Amino acid sequence: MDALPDDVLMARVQTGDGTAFEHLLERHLPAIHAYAYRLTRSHTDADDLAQETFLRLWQKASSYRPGTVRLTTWLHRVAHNTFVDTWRKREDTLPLDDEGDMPATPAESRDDARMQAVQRGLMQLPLNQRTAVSLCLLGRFSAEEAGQIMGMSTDAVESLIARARRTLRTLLADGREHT
Amino acid sequence: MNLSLHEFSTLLDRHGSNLDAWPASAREAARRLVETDARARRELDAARELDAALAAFPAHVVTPGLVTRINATRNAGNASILDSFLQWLTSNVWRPALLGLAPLVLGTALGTLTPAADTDNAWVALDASALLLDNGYWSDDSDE
Repeated sequence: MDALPDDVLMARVQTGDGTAFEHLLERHLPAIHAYAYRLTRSHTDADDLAQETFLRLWQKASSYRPGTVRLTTWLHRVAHNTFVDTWRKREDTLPLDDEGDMPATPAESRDDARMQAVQRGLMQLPLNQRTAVSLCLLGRFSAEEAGQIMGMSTDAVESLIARARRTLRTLLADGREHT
Repeated sequence: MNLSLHEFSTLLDRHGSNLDAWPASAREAARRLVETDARARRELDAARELDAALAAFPAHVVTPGLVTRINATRNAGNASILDSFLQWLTSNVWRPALLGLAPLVLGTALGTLTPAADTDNAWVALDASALLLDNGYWSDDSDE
């Protein structure tokens, strides 16, 4: 069943096939959890958001229309909407989890230090910019798909990415001047 | 076409450091600017550093045990629907009786909602029955 395309597995999930659900979970959880973490900036909340996303996949599988959108886009949209409905209300009160994807050990090379600086910078970007970067530059979605997920136009997504790039680029340039 | 440093910087933010991926109309002008302007080169280098750092992001690690937790929650959700129905059914003595009456109620409702039989057809059926009776089809063979 591992080799079956998403749409075939989703058709089985729509008939209540738990095994098909488990395969989709294994396949898509890493991307959804990474996205959830970049939205919530907390591992605990990312776990909860990813869980809620997959439970909605199970409960609302019938609302997925194969051929209209990729399953991964649909899942990211579910995660995004769930986040907006539930988590965003307390976004300002959430502590910034500095552990994140960052290694616990100090950077050993200049490249490591640069990457850690970008990771920290990414997590401090405004939510929409962080989301657009996460989808398009780290998640390999097109700006059009990111727009479908975020509920905004392609132009708006491209504009968010441009602003995020500028912030991160400036951050890197500043870091270089201080070393 | 010539690009100012500001325009170059704006395009760099929008399209990234790979000049080959830029719109064809701006590509050559961007290359010329990079060759002649040290500030443009510095901006391009910073953009390349950023893209390299983004490309080198480590793979995200999912919390161990999360797959198991999600599957367990889904299974518990499925079970809880059945459990809650059974609990509802057995918590009061009148509820099983109500469930037993459901077919009767359904049958009555269907009978009420079904349109009345066509009376002309009913008379035809009666005539046919009478004819068959006259011809002895329905006579009692045990008398013979």
